[in-house]
Amino acid sequence: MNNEQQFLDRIRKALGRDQAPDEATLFSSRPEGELEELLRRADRDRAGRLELLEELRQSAVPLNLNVHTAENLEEAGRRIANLALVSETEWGGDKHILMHDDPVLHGLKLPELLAGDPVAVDVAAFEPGEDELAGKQRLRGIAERAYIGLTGADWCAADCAAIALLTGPGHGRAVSLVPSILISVVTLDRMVADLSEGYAQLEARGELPASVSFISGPSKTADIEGQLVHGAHGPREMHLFVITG
Amino acid sequence: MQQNSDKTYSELSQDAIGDEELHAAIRMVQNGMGKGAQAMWREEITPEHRRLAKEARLRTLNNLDAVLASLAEKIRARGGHVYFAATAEDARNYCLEVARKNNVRLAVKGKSMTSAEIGMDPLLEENGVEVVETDLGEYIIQLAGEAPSHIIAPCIHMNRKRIGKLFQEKLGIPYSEDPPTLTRAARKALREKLLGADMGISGCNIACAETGHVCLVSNEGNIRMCTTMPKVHVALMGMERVTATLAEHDMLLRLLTRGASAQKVSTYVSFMGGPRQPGETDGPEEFHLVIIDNGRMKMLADPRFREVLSCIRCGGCLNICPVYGRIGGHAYNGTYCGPIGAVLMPLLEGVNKHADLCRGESLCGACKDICPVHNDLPRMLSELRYMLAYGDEKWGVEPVDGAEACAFKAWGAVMSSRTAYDLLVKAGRIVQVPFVKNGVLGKGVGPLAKWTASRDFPPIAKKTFAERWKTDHAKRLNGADNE
Amino acid sequence: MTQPNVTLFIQCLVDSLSPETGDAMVSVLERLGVRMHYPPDQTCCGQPAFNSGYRNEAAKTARRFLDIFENSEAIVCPSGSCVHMVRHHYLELFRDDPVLLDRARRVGAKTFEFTEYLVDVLGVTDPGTQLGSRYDGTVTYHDSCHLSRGLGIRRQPRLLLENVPGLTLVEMDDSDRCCGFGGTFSVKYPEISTALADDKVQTILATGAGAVVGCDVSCLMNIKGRLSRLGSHVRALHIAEILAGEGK
Repeated sequence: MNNEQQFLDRIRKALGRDQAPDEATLFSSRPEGELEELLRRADRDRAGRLELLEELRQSAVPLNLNVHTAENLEEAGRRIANLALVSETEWGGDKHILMHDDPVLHGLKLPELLAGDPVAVDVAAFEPGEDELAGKQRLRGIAERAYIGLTGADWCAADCAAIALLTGPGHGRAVSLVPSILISVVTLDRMVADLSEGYAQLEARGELPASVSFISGPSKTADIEGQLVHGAHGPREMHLFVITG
Repeated sequence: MQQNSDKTYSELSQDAIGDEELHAAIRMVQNGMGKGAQAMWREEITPEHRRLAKEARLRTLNNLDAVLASLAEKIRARGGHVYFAATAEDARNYCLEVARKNNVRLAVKGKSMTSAEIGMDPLLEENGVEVVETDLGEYIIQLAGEAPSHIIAPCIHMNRKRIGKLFQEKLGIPYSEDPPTLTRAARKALREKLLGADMGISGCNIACAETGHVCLVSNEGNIRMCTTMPKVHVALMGMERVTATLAEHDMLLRLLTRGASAQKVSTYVSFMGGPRQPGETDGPEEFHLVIIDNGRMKMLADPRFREVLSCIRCGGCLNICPVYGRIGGHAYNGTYCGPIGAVLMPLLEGVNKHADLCRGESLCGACKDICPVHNDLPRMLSELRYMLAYGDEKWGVEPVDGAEACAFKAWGAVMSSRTAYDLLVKAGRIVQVPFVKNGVLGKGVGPLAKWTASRDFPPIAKKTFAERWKTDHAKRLNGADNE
Repeated sequence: MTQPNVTLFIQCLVDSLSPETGDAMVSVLERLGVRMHYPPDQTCCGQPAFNSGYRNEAAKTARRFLDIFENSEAIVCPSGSCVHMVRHHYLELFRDDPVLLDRARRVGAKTFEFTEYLVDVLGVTDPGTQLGSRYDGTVTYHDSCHLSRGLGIRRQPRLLLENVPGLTLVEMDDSDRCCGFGGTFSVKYPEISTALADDKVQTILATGAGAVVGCDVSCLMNIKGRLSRLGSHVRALHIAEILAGEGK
């Protein structure tokens, strides 16, 4: 704590001030009513959201993000199961899907759909009574072997095709990061227009978890002669399923 | 890797100017990213947005104590550690301590210019820690033993053939010049390191104080890997790289990704505010934020230069600067290059030491124009030149060029008197006679020789405008005054 | 309407190296019925010293400028960089002296670059009929740094050029990228300066125009100097010369 005090004192000295400033104004920079307006705007009717879906399809193209729509979870489940069957592993070995512990994803019923197939489905959550560090090691091993990571999304911004993932129990970071293919499922009611509406959603929650990620497509780089290559260190392929029903 | 050439700015510049491949590479980046950013400012971002963003930056700086206190408090509440480092030495020693405590053998880095600024890598390596850059561009130059030449695209000065040979040599793969093949090879090699590392080190693009998060943007996913998989995450943050509220963060993030690579958003934006929380299935067990001064306090204290701390390191200024466009990043001989580097390096390492950076550009103003937060770099370069002209006690600056100072004193005297001015013109007309050929001066003396080495110069006119006014215009224009 | 009064500020570069630019400006203003004054004591706005950091010498020169010009109705100068110096940098020079600062503000408010004065103050829209301008040929236009980014003057020179009978204006790529002059930069870092000039020359030649036109003699000197050293016959003209109909 000591060196923090000294450091902050030196800042005050540099600024020519003795006291700490008035924090009330510092931490309330939003104009009056702006947050409410952004939240209100995001609360669109179905028609509005379907328009955003069209915009999402456009934004996704240059990002190499595959956007699929499905009427309901049953249809999405079937299509994702198919995708799992035709996709190859990158590093060899058996096919493992690792998914977030999320009701929407459970609704896809993938273990049932893939019951007779050589595709294992694991949930990235601690087992009841499992020691957390041991569980973390176990799940890490699965993540490193998994070829598909399956997540939901807290919201999806149409103009830049970005989904937001907030961490929490059963909603770890590795699922959307370590496997070669990322599949995310978002329901239409979570579609927002842009990052500003997305940020407003975050702000409205109050406290945020330790980690939040925005993801907008497979990883990429243009470090070699400026040529764009999809597939750097994060997933090299990404699919976004929007449930429209 | 730190820049440390013995060559001068002019020598390094000339090396770069002669390098047609480098010229083409930077031109490509400038045409794509620089013009791309400008188009976005015209078409998507309002002047109001940038004005508010600048206000937010200045407000944060003017209240930096409260902002950092909030950030630290929130991170500690989640079980993270926050260390305030006054010097580069303090910062890197802290990193070493953390590495030692955790028996770190292998550390992976997400891109961090701050880590280069504080000289962290050599200290860790001397103490038995293998340090691996994971950003593809940084990885390539690390393998090659070179320094970065651009803030966002560090290996832009290397072509695919060179990289192909490098990978063949260092990674043992068959020679290829195909970027996707080379990228795949790096993906495989680095995955091993990323998954096997004990510690991940990152910078911080813009932290958010009210929510208590460090925030990083990337396209490759390496930063997410570095900050998720290893047991320990250390984030290095220049003390000014923070904003107070989430709403401001929204505003700044949208400018950062557009300024950096003409994108609405980068592939990954990661907010991290602490270690793995109870119940979470992954994330580092230890999270450390190192907040660094290393000379920034002095900039904050000086009203002439406080503004430079608004920089969000998007690299936009590099992508529009015509001087950077020809001399490349190595000519700046410092951690930070381009227009922002020209102001930061003198202030961080010494104004006299980097006198050429203060004086070696045309002050064209393109950098201020493209800067998402309208950082007035030309004004600050002008202030640095003022300091170099007469010296400056506060910053310990010695006058840089006694002969030039004398020349301008004489110039001042001449300009104070039309008679003296006219005499000088008359003298010039005589002196120039042997040098005038075909109506131009092809060769000159003194400073003029530097011009005429590559350009012709007009001779002094037979009659100045003043003389023509007297003999022609004044007479012709009825009732015209000759005040 | 009362006859406008203009005090001519003919800066050092034009006065000694390119007086024909001054002649052309006088010729144009004459055709518009402007009453002209020329303080023969004038020398310089102080920019070279300011640019190199020698603010004491710059301030001395600037104070002299204020003394000479402050009672003028309007000051017109054929240079974006000098006008930028007066309007912007004088405020920095005199930031610690409220009296001088005030004088500088008032003088800055009535100091105009030539094309700015023609279009924004005198309302010239048709150089053909209003000035008798004519130019047969294709030209391209260079936006100098202080004029375009510093003063925001881009539209006015183009408006005039586009309406000169016989003239075809072709835009170059990166018309507002610095030509590399930068004041003493051009002789302190000549290789970098020349590299920038070469890039400018490339974009000029790519238009196929017979001439490059600008509003700043400093830029034109630099560009012309490189063009001629490279053996090119492309001319470099100040816009005043085009408008005065002397650029045939």
